[in-house]
Amino acid sequence: MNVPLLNVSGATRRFGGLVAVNEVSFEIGPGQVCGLIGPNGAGKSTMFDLITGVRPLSSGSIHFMGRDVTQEPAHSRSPMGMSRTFQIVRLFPGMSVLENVLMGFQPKFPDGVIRSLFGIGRLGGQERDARQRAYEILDFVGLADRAGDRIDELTLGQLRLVDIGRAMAASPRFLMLDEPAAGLNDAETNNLAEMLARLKADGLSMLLVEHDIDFIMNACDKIVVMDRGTKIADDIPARVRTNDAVIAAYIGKRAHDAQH
Amino acid sequence: MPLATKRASVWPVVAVLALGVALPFLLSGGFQLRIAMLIWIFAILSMGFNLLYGYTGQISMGQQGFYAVGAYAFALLQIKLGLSPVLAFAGAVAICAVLGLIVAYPLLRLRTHYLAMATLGFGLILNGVANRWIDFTGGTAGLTVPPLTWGGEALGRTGIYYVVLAIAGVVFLLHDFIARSHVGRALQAIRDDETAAAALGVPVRRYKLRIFVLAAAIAAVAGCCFSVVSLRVDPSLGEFHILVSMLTIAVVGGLGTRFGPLIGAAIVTILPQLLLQFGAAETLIYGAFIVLFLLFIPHGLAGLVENVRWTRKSAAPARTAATNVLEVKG
Ligand SMILES: Nc1ncnc2c1ncn2[C@@H]1O[C@H](COP(=O)(O)OP(=O)(O)OP(=O)(O)O)[C@@H](O)[C@H]1O
Ligand SMILES: [Mg+2]
Repeated sequence: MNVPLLNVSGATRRFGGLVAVNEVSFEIGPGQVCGLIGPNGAGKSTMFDLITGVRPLSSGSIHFMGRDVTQEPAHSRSPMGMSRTFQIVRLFPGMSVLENVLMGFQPKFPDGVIRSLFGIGRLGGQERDARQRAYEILDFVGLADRAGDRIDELTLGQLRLVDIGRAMAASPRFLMLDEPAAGLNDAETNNLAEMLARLKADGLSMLLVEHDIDFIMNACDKIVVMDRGTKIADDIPARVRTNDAVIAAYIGKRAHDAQH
Repeated sequence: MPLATKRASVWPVVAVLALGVALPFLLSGGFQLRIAMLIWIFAILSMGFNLLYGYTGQISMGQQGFYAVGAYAFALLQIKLGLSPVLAFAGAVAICAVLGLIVAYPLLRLRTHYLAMATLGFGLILNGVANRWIDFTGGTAGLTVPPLTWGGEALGRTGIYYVVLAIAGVVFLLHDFIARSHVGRALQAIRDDETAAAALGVPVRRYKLRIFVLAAAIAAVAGCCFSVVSLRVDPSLGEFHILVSMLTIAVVGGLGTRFGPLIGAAIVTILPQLLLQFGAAETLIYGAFIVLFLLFIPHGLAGLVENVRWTRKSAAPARTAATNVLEVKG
């Protein structure tokens, strides 16, 4: 078999006495869409932080495209082709919607002032192309007419779409979305599902955290389930649905909630 | 593409610089020309501060220290080592860049008011050195700077003005290049959210270091220009009033804007002159003016103008084909 795109091996993260992620291992193959589910506090967002380097691991390792990136800082992982959104949208309030998406192209531009000045002849064209593509991405997520607006003029659902657009702008090999449907209305959620299906058809690998079970079941090739920091299942959607441990930890909890 | 997606143009800056070239012909007398030079010098100093604080969100209350070190180094390299003004200028800027790196390395892990206090401490130390190390710095009396010469003769006031303008023009163009480019966006990203910036590939710490060094070097440039104009450096260069002027310029002109430093520098330099006729009430009126600014124009004058495009809705554009949006790599 090919080298997996992502290999998480024995990933552990402690916050003081709390083990937020406990010896979790899983793999994602090229072109695969993987779901990551689990009850609140299971450690899903922390797992995102470990994979992207936003937080260091307490132990374990992360390999991306066969390369050990465990010690790499966040800013050098994203140029390798990892791209993510945050559960609580983290856009840049001082920039317009378009400029936020443009930030996704950052690794493609020359690094720093001096290198940029040396490349100044090509920079104009590069900036124009980036703006054109950022605009197309905004069009793709349905926000082309908001390109020049300020972030605080958008609804939560629109902010999430800008965040996803910004992550897409980096032309990632691997896109990680943390609860992308949270705050979206039904129409927006359907739209998002359609967008993700198109990205998947284009061969993009993804890791999705989502509380909407139907959304996850439809979108994913496989699903990793976590509960209180530990991986309790790693299987295709149909079998995860009927997995006893999962039902007990997660779906059971939902059923339990629904009865009340 | 609609207007909102267009990159800002360099032409307004070129127009302002052209006005700068014409200025000596429009002004009457040496006093007005001197005011014009002071405006450019304060604009240079404030552009460094604007890049550091306005764009990157890293406050430094020690810029007046670099300003003074730059001015002293420019004088001393000529007096003690006999360097030419051009070499002394390069040396002074290099010294401040290195000093900036030394200061930034330990300090930039600090944030907000901790960073403010630490950099303020740095400024105070330098000021103490300037005042007390009399053999080297001339103490409170300061040093006399040799005048610039051209063809064996001392350069006249207009000549000096053009030297200052040329230097200010380069700094202005650099400031504007950064502000309008992806580098400026990266800096703003650091200011707004360091974690998100890093996740998008911005090397946060490296950029902070670089911009601190650049701001220190720009302050040195302003200091050199001041010595060229005043022909004297003394400890007052590194004192509090320089810092206060810089902060006032930031408030009046607008932080994180392309023209804030220049607009602010013009107002902060000209306004006190206009208020002189009010005698003792001058300071009072000036202070009230600043407070009004803070209350009603918190983003400064440049902020008023430059953010217009944000409030103007872009015309609904035709939808473009979205199929080729993603270049998924293999
Ligand atoms: N910075 C932090 N400091 C201390 N504890 C933290 C921190 N971040 C997360 N935790 C804890 O780690 C555990 C896992 O949190 P995490 O946010 O990863 O869960 P999650 O699965 O994403 O939950 P949710 O579904 O609510 O988003 C929780 O108990 C949380 O309180
Ligand atoms: Mg979470």
